[in-house]
Amino acid sequence: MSKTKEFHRPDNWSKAHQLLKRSDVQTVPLVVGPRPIALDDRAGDAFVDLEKLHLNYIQLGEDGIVHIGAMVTLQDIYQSELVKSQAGGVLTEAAYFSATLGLRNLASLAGTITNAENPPDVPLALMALDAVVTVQKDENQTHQVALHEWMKDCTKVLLPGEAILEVGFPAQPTASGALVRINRTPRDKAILAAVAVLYIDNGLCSKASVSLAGANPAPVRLLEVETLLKGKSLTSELLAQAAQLAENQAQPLGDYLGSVVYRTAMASVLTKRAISQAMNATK
Amino acid sequence: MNIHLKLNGKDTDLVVIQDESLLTALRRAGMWSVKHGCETGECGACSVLMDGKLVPTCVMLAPQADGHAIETVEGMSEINTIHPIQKAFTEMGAVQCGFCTPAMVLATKALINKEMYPTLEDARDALSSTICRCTGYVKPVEAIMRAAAMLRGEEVPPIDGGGIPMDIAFGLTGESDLGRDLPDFVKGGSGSEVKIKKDVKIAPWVTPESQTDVVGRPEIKVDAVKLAKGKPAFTDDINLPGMLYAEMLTSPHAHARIRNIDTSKAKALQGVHAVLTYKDVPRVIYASGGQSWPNPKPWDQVSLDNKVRFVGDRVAVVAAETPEIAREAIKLIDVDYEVLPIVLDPREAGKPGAPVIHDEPDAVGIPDASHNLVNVVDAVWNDVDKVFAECDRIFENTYYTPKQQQGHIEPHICITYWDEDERLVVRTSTQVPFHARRMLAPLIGLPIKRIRVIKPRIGGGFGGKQEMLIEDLAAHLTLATKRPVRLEYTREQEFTSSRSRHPMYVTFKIGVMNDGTIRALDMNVISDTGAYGSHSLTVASVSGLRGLSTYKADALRFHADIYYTNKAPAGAFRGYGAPQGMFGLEVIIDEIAHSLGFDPLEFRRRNAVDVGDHIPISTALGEGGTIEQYVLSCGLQECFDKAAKSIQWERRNDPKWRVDPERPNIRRGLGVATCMHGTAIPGLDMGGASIKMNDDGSFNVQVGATDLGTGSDTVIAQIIAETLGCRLEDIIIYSSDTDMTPFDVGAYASSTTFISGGSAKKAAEIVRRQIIDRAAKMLETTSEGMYLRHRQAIAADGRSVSLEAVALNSLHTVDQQQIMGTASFMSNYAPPPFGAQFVEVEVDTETGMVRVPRMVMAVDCGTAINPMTASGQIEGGQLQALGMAISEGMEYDTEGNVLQKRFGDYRIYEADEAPEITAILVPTYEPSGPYGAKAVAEIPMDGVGPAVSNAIFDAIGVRLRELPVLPEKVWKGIQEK
Repeated sequence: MSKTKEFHRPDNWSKAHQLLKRSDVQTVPLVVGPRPIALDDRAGDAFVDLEKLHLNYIQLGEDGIVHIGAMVTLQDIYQSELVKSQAGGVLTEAAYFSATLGLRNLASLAGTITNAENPPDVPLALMALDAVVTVQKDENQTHQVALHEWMKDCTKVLLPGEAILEVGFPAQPTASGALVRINRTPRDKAILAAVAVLYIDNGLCSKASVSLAGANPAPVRLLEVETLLKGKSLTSELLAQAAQLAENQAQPLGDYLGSVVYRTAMASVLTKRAISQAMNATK
Repeated sequence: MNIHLKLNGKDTDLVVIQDESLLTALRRAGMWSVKHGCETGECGACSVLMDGKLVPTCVMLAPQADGHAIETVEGMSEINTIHPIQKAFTEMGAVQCGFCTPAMVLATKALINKEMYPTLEDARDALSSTICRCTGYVKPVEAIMRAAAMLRGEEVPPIDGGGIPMDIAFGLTGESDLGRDLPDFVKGGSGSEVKIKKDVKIAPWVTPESQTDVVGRPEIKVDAVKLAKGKPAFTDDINLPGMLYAEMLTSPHAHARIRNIDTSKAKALQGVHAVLTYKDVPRVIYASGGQSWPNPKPWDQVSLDNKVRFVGDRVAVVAAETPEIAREAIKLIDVDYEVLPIVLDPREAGKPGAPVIHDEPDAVGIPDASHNLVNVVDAVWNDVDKVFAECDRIFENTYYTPKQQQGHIEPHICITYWDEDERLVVRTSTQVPFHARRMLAPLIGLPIKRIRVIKPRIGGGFGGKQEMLIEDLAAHLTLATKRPVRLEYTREQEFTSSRSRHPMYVTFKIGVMNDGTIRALDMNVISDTGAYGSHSLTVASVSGLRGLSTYKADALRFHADIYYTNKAPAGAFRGYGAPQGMFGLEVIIDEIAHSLGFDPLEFRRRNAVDVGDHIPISTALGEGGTIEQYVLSCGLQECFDKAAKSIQWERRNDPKWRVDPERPNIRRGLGVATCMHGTAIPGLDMGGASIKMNDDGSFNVQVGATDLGTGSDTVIAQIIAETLGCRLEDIIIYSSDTDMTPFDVGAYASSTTFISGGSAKKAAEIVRRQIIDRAAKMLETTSEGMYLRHRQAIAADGRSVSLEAVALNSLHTVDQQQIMGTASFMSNYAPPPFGAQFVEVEVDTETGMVRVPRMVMAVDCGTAINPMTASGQIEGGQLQALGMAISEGMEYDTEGNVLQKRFGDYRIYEADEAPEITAILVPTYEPSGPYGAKAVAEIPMDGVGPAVSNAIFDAIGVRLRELPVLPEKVWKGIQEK
């Protein structure tokens, strides 16, 4: 008979770490994403509820970083004025489209970036915002991973004993942003999605961040596209080049929602559309 | 472990298992309103308020609630009180099956607590967490707005109005219209000049100005209050001492023979009471479709077999002390499979060399098992080829409709137990309690008289519960263990092991004249029944019946080949073959109209059937025998008028409307489809009703009719109340208990208002006559001209006596007599309801995405006995149909595994993405139905798919002949254009 799984709710990191680092009992942080896994299917023999560790903050630090605690819910993100003021509210929109109200109330940021099956919107938006994940290694030590690196295989980044502390990104109130998606119904998980965050100064793109999901095995930053756009006027010719780059980089896995051919073609369409919409948002 | 929480405002300590769900813990604590609909938090039926916020509890561990405040609807009202939110939901008709209603009520509470003046957008967002398969979210959104107004202290308008003219309700049909001969033209063949004869006497108290008191009015559903309050009304809302929990072991292979199965380890597990395999239960061949005796063939199933035919097929079943032990036992069963080749495409299944799915020698009625051919249907009227030869143009194309899952939020669930008389009680969520009892008896070796089937409230069915799907397994386990047994499907099992709509390839060949006259229709179907033949014959027949009835023609021909494949079986699903047939028909009609240069609406108007028209194909395809069918009432042209006006059909000719300057990649279009359905199965469907009068002038009613959330209990009670001159609250209705109520075939074929309502009206007329006779004696007058109204028996001279006085007189005073009546009703006529479906689309020309901002459907359902419930059916049905058009289609990998095993992946429309949905009722009076009623339940499934396809063509000139219209399909069409 399977043993009943343990439940713990430590009130400090020290206790949490002691639990999480156990090698004899597979112990995992209790986090839920916008596409929850059924309780019976969740990995782990023990769950550590991080509720009491005060990880539910959204704040602008003196370092100019927007800090979002790991246990902040998607609804908290959706309702945050600070988040709304960043890059045209692209993360706000991403949080909204990630889940319906009840799941937004339950799903945490940590849960959102630790399951590759989750809707890609929030990770995409955060990637385009240059987000970095801070991991609590033990009670005294943290380390950081850029989210676009993290998302390459988001289920394998955390080591035993570790838990996500927060995700932070540089405040970008003057940037514009856009999230574009292809799906069956308006709120459906995106078949493909793209996010663009742009800084336009005097008609030139001083910085561009573009992320894309659905056209590769994992969400990606389109670094070549970003380089192409930087310092240039975003003409239709340039957008076409950017779209072509995205298409060239696409290596999708096809499924019934979108073949390889379709996803490759849409990589181009969505990249161009995201950049274009972000550009228009600055006007 | 112990947790402490504030439950509905009270400090509460609960003992919980640390890895059980909060849902389980709350239900064990008596919070029956918290429902299980899935295991992944996506349906929202399990939602509660935690610290004022809506959260799904199925994905939360019970200990997570420790230290928090939890609210359920049990805390919102007491006996005899109702919270304004619950009241608003009942008044606005927002409660259909009611399974998700508590979650919606809580979502409303959380919203209004935060925002006293919610917008419609707020309301839709609040409801987005709760998938409702019944309502289309229209009335729940309206309920939120009404509740907010009530809680702000504003006066809200009464929900009233309606009724139908008394002279029509009572004058046209007289007292005993049902079952009487229909107008002469029915017997004499077609003839459009013939009018329905108004040859019955008009009662003197009836005036054209007066309206019915109950019929035709938006009465609150009789079960709405208890459902809004979350009362324990459903199958699982019961706790029986000693109840065991069952789990199924299902096949991981799409086709395999079981060489051996070893259950010894599972049986040895502590807490396990029974493990059953094919070795343990008698091999009795049956068909699982809930249909009248004798069940249509093939009979190709047994309770447990030594062969599996799809991933998810039954292998073994376990009963144990807890669900956890049962699940553990399942893992301990060793099965040695001989894996066999599979076939997944019905177009390949009949070819030489395809694996034979049913090679067992004892299956009955498979025409050609060696070629996986389950059934063949042929029907012909006149010489089709000869007429084709006379036609100016012939059009031919093939259309595909997908395997759609019913998606009722309450899963299949059944609880079986021995009662004190050692009779087996089957408490089950079924649409067909009487069929289930009859079909179950031989499988478990008990006579029918030792089985009682009770149908509590049902959390949606849509045809998925017109099946004896799990009752036999639960019963086998109760027989084996002598204990109560509960068996419930998980949501994943609903996708892997339940039923679905039959996927079909429908080829239409239509011959027309250049003047726009349709001359001949030839319809060819390849249907995929999956691994078993349940409903396969009759579903395909209905495809033909509906596909070949809507338009007049000189010749008709139908052929269907139905094949087995190694996929989960198809079965009954709202529409029952009609949506498949109507998709092909209504798209090809659109193609023809465009090709000939007609406005597609005008082309339909020109060719559609009308009053007096003969439906010749019904004679060949009718399940109940060769009964001629005619159109006795038809409001189709008015449906076209009203719906076209509502959708602003003329916009399609406005180039400015068709493009959006702000979104240059978007093109707009409008599409239309004609809808024509049936009402019950003529010559076959029958229902019974029994009524008795109580001391206070109220009435107990027993009906076999199965209310699966549609409101049939309510409309039946309305019919009776109108006939007996009392109020709806004077009718206490009890339905669907094989021990207590008369027989009824069950809830399917759009039959309940017509058939069960017909029996109710007949029984009420018997009671009415007894009341009038007694009242006449009490008033010392004659019954001539006496009528019942306002709880009075009123004599022609104006004197009256109350129904209560009549009851007391009859029960206690003079010539004591129980005033009561029992009647049954069967009809040889299946009056078709008609509808006009319009859809507006926006197509993204770069991505192929299709958005539907608006749908409008006008329906002629005869008299809408309850316009609120009728419009609710039309709204909810349209959204369910939109799902099939846009997102819902079960896909399989090459090994036969279904790819969508949860709601999120399958994708049912949620509240905040659903289009604006309009339902328009076009009243006609159907002479063969109770108070002029005909069906409304299924017709909303018929037109949305083709209207979407037609609207896409209107928008971008691409013809989509396959549903659902996934973005890539549209994109490909654009590329190939």
